Amino acid sequence: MKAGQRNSALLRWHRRAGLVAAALVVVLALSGVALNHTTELGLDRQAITAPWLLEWLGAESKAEMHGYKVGQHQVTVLEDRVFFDGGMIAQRLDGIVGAVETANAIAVAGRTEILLLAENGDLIERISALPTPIAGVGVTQDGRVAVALAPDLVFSADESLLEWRQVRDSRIGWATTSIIPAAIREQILQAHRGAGISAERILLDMHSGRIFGRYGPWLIDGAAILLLLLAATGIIGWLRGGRGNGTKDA
Amino acid sequence: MRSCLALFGFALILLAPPARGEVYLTPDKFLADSFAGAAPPPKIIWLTGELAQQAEAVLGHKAAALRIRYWADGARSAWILDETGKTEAITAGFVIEDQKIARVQVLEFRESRGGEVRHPFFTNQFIGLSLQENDRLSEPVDGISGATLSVRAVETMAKFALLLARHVRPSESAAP
Repeated sequence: MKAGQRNSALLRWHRRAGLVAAALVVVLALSGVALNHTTELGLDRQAITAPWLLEWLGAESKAEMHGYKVGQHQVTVLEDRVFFDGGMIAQRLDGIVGAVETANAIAVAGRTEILLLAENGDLIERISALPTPIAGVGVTQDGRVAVALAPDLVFSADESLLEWRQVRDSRIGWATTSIIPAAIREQILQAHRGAGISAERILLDMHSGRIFGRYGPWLIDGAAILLLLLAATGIIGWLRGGRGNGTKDA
Repeated sequence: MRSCLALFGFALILLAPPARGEVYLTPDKFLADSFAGAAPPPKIIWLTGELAQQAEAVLGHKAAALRIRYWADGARSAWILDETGKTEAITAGFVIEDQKIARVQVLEFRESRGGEVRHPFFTNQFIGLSLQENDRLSEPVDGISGATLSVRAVETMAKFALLLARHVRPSESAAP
């Protein structure tokens, strides 16, 4: 094959690769530029709530709700979000194991932390200095928080939840799930959906390819490889004959 | 050739890796280091009444919790605080002595950018600073390009720690 034919073939493959990569490059470039200016564009504060998009992104929760009746209130957990009487509280909590009413507060326990809430749902303190991993949460006869790490490994806190000591008390009322009233269930679904997804998150998913589904990141990987091929074929073509063609064209 | 260069630029955008959240120091280690190896028992300060209003003024928003845990020995107190940088919380430890900052340490950084605030070249600027009546630090702190929100969060926490320490009387913080 002559040099001219080789360059022609290289250019043909360069064009084909460019055409295939073009659409994805546009997505990558636009999302990349937008991500570089999320604060200025307010994309991190802009929530996307379109139901079809949330469903496409898998943002509509399919997780089961767990409800706990604490005094006159209902604490409900959906994924890592905590809801107090239907309203979402700002704090997230991983691996929630239960909620109980103590002498003067409400304790919502996760595997490694406790959210101590006031009677109106305000956060008193997020407590992480405690025995973990928590498998169960309960309340002692005198209204103090107790956590179980195992059936025979139970700790009880002082009134302020500053210090913990191991106890052997069989009269602890452990948190158990309760039926969630239909009205609160609906409020929670709306609140969960209402939080939506930030425009920045959607752009990040576009940029990484996750928005295109399970194989999206592979698609973007393919586009990256095509870009590398384009760079390589472009440079080779230029070194071999681009300059010559330029002279010829002139 | 121009198209190749442009595509190379796009590839660089594609390949730029985001930073990850990281724990630099555990709270237990920070407290032990701050009190010569043995942290005193924790205490609690409630954000109620006038202090709640002052806290809101310093933070620029309502405090996330109604009470704050602290550790104190004489005129020296340690505070572990959280503040949101851009979207995620930054956890930092502060030691206040005689109403001045004696130590700043970023314990955990969860943002994708701005992690430079953990470095001593930034945190050492706070040493010796106090809180003025107008809720400003006694000396300006140099920012870090590209980490504006993280810098602001650490500054806010420093002012909050100084405010809280002001409300802990030495008699209350004396070692048991």
